[in-house]
Amino acid sequence: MTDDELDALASAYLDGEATPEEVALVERDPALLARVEELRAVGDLVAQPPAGPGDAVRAAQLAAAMAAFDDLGLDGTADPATAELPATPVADAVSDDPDPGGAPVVDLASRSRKRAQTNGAVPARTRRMPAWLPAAAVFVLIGGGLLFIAGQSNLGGSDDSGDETATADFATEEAAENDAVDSGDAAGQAARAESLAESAPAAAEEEVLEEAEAAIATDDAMEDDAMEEEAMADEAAEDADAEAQELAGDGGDFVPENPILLFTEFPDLDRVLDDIPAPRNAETSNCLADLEIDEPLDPVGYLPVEVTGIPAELFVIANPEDGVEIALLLDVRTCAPLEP
Amino acid sequence: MRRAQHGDRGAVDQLLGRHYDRLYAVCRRVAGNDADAADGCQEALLAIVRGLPRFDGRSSFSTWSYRVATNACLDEIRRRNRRPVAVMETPEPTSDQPAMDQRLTDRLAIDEAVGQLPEEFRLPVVLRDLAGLDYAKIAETLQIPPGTVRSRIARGRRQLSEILGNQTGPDGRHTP
Repeated sequence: MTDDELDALASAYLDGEATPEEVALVERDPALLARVEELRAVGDLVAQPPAGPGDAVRAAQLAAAMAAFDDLGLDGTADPATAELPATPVADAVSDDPDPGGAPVVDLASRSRKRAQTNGAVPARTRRMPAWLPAAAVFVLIGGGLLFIAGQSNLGGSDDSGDETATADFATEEAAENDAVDSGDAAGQAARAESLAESAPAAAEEEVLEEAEAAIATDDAMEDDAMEEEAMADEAAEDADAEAQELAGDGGDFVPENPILLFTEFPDLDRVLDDIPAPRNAETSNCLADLEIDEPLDPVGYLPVEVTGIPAELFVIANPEDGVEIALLLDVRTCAPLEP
Repeated sequence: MRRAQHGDRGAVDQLLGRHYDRLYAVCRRVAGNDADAADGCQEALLAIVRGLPRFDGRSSFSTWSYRVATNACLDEIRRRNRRPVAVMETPEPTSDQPAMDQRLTDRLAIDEAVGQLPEEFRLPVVLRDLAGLDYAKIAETLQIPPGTVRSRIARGRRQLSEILGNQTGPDGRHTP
């Protein structure tokens, strides 16, 4: 057994997670028992609660939470936040979630309302077209369109746009494999099997890529115009790849965000704004760099989604001045806006 | 819990008050500093309040709330990753300082040691040793296979032991 395997055995024994055979193995080996005691000492240290935040902070945080509860307006019989909503793919995804703790449930509308109240501006619920929105939308559409063209031309040659996904998938599988080897037991094998199962969406993505390649084959006229955009797309893909590799190196195994929501039809983005269940950390986004249009645009939510089989990223952006939010759906391979 | 889910304000207040310290402790260990821990804890509390009506009880409230807190704190520290972070120095104990200061020094050293762990090891170790979750619940919380939880906890503890071992005093006792 390697040191890692012995540590895993001692650690599992300490936690009461070892099999009867492993327990017997540990208990007849004084060296392993000594290792258990060493790990127990470490565990005891970690178990010591850190210093609290102080009574004032504690009281303020609990008060803020209760204020949020009051904002919900619960009457003791139902959850108006879901009861009043029509059945949408997003609402279905939320209600079908077997465990509501799967992700932090953050009500973006409430968040922006809170921000708006802080700024003394119009609450986000009274959503209106902000002055900057047309310009931002045009910018996004033009920029996205150029990247889409560049992305398509890229698909005809060396496909750099998929590098991040490929790298990330590889990192995930490698990590799962390593863990399987490390643990050397059925649980490790299960980890590997689960990782492979999770790579299934790649098949759908491949199908989309093939369709894009076929489209390019019939549209040679775009090749000449796409040279400059191709260079831009290469650069963007390299940046994304570098970010993925950085995350892989930093965190050990960068796990790609699987689609959180599956839309079988193009979603009503305005409704999504109200229902989006779990804003995610945009650090893992493929398109965040392309979304950096202007400083006032503040991405407050990010969610990997799949729209009619196309892997996409859903961004919710708020104008910090008035809290008004818009949603954007971008194709993850090209970072171009998806159109209905 | 049921009264809280049905909109009983007093029950919600009581529920949050009862779990606050443990949630903050997890956030503190996950985030590695007070500022991110406070922000993450606040986000977690808001998420818990808003998610309560949809909490179906298939997992315990503790497990669910730890998961929410872990995700909220991870979001918080990732959001701040691009900003410079002040590093807390561990004060050197002096011979005339009483035992209370030693305990403070110990606590800071543990904070620092846990903070040095890579996130992939830190999270399962904290959820196991501080939150007391079993491997299955940690796997569920972090959405990784149980076998991975097992190996990461072991490797995390090993690294912690080595980090703390480097601070072993002349009497051989760990001085975290």
